[in-house]
Amino acid sequence: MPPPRGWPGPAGGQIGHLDPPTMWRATTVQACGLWPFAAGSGAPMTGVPLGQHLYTGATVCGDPLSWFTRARYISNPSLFMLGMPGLGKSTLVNRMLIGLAATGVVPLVLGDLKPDYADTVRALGGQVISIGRGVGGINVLDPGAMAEAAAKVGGDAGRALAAEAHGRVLNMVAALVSVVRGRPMDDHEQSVLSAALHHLRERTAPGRAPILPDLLAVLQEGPERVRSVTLDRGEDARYRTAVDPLHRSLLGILDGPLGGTFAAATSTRIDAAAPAVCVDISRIGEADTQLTAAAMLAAWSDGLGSVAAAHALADAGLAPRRWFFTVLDELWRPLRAASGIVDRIDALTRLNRTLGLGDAKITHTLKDAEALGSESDRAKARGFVERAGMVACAGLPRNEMEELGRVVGLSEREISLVSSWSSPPGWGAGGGEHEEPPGRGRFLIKVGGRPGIPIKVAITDAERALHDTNQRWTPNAQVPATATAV
Amino acid sequence: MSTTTAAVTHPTYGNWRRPRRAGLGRFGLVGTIGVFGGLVLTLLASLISLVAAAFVLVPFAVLLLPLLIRTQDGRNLYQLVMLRVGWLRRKSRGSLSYVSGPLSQRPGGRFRPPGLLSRVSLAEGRDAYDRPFGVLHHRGRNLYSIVLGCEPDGGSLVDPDQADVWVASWGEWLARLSHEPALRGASVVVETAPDPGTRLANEVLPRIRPDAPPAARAVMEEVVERYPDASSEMHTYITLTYGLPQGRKRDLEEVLTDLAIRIPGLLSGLVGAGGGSAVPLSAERIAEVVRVAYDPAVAGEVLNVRAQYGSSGLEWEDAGPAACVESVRAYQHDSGVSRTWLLSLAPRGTVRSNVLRGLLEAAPGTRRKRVALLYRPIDPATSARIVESDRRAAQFMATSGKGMVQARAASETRAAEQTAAEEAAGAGLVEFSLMVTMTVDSTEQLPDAAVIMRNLQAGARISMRPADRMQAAAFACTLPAGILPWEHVLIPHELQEAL
Repeated sequence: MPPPRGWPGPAGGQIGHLDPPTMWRATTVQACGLWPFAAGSGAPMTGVPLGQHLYTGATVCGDPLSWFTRARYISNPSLFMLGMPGLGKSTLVNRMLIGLAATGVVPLVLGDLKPDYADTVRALGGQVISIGRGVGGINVLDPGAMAEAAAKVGGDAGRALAAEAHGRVLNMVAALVSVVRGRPMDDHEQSVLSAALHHLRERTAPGRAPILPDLLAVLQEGPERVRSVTLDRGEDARYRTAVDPLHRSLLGILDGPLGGTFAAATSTRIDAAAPAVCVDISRIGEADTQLTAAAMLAAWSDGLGSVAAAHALADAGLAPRRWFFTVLDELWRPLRAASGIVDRIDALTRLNRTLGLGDAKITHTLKDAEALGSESDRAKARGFVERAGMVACAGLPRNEMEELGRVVGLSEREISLVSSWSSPPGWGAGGGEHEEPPGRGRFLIKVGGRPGIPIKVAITDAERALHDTNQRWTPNAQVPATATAV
Repeated sequence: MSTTTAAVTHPTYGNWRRPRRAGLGRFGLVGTIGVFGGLVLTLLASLISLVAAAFVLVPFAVLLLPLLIRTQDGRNLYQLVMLRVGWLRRKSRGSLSYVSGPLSQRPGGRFRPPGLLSRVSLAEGRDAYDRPFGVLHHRGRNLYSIVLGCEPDGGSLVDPDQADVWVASWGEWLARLSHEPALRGASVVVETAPDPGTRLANEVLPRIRPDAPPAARAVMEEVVERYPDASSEMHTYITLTYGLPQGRKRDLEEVLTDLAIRIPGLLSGLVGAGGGSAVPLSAERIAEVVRVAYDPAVAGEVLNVRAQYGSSGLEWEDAGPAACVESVRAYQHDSGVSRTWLLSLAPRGTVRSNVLRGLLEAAPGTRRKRVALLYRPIDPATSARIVESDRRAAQFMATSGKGMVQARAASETRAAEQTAAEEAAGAGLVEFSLMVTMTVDSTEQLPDAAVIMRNLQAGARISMRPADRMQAAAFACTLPAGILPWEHVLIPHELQEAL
């Protein structure tokens, strides 16, 4: 055993007596002023690497799925992102898509309005489905992956899944009718529709999906099963009175603004086995709210059906378990498009844990929720932020931040920080390539009541090529070769 | 909005003083006694003859004069000379270098940490939640240290009100330390280092699926490669050192049980003080921290091994450097060169609670930096005595002086009264100090580190001096290994106050 100050002798490393640092004396209510925790050391390191902590420089990792499943920071795998346009919101979400895709999670962009994600999904080797007039459509009567899975699973679970698939188709047609009518469907019409769909499925040859004109034909013919739910008591006139409004609405869908997109057989079905899926609805004009709403609803119905099917297959041990991550960018547009979408997103935010589905909702400001038609919709939309496990803010004006602070609890410093990011760049610098808004790529990530994590996202060269939301502003000479090839 | 926040006053902190026994001018208590003793003896000798008086007076004067020559932080010439004598002695003996490992003369052929850590042994116990915690046993002094690791969120983004609450809770935590039986000292070590990138690599790369899309894999690999350049990591450790009364023997088991009971209570207060979630460090983690401090180049490797196999298997006996050389201004160890600074003046005037932030944050251009805040809690009985005697001294000065002295004495009185009031309201007394170790890659970078350090200490409004001629010992003090500098001095600190 060496002596207290180390081994004596050459190369023993013995040290001398210490001349200690000066000790200072104070009461503990004063000595605590030299607070050792003034600089934070904690930075979450679970999930997709996002960027560097603005103050400590530590690498920050995070995504709703990893924080929910592995780190258990949040109780609900969802992200709500707010921020002014052009500050890199979709860049950050694209990073999450890429990072999650690398770990085997399937990104689902069910309704890409810009498109911000189509290029990423394409680069990931995923499926990009375009919806729009003359571009591609969705067959709302196609039970899709769910029916297939039901057949594969078989037994009680299969029957339950088939029933679920039926319900989904029914809801979808009902939603389309509501979009056309601008009000919900009546209850007895729903039962007529349900009966007609049952009949239609029984008489359609396996392997072929019915289409909307087939449904009209069923109503036209009026088979016994459909007639019985209308209480026609054998009188054809009574039957016609009962089904005519529905008949008319369906005709309206076929011949009206939605017809070309939803009446034909699906051009491409969502493939839940693809590494990523993007339903690109950017070809639909912004003013075309009915078609936007219908397309989003259809994409959601089909996409969530695929998710349910994938989980059913995994439950039955027929396929490996896969998790999904959906992105709802420009949330304000679908919210305004149709009342039904608010409900659907609302249901999603409550059920995403059971669905095995993480989600990211992106919008500009909280005011987007205020623009909704009915008070109940507004309340639901406000609830999205409250229920989100993870809230990320890019630059926002001060009054917006104060508003947000009432929902998620922000400190004055956080509000000042984020509002400073929404200011424009200086006039001077000659407009060079490097002049960018002060808030570009900066985010404040809030989880519950904990102090926010301010990060700066650093994108890689590979991503920079992939993701450019300002593509249409690129001068002709610089159009990348990939863009022209598409 | 901003006008209202500016109107709210936030507490400032100050009123720290250097504990010193009152004496004549710069003499200190011992010097004063020496002066009077010398005068009495000289007077007695002068009764015999003037020559005898001179014979008595001259040695006394020679002995006492060095006490008058003092540095800014109160060290006298004796202390400075002693440090140099010790240095020269060690230099002549060849103790400035240390070699360990199988080819060295160290018994066992292992890589034991040198110097103050050479007698330390490491045991492990289990706390109330069955978490392993390492206990460092400093055999010579019979001290036991535990290390807690915590992850503070930092005060930068919380409202000042919240930060004030945290800081106040930190004060309460410190006050509680003085009630902690047999606690000899505590330290908070904040270590910053550039991110070696292995933590990121271990988080990302193993999770990439073999069938992952090539584009996703490429982006993730690029991120893993590029991010560490811009990143840094920061660790906060709290060490608590308990002593056993000299001569009393207790077996290790008993000590471990005793410490295990205390840990949950100690941890609980930290969250409220802004320390974030805290956990005790296992013996292996402590060994890793020490190993990485001595050999910064292996930081990534240690993390890597731990991520891959769940543990690094590192033991205390192998946590030291293979070779190190101490020089006047630096300490070279395995893959780094370090220099340590010691606090000489606490912030003058009053400061806000974020005064240390710049000092604690990662300093670019350094390999590693450790800021150690050392605390020596004073037990309540002694506190009360100190406070009372300070107050009496201040009052005595105030009533006896006049003119300029009067004004200064008045402010002394105010300070003493404030301390007394705070103590009466339940605060404890604590002695604190600060040490900073900076590690760079080569000796050439040391001047740059010194410049960084000068800027940092200016930002923190403190003044520090380099721990020259004792760099090895000072280095060990900033490790989260529970070494309390005042336990390793030649003159006990009680006497030091009187000097």
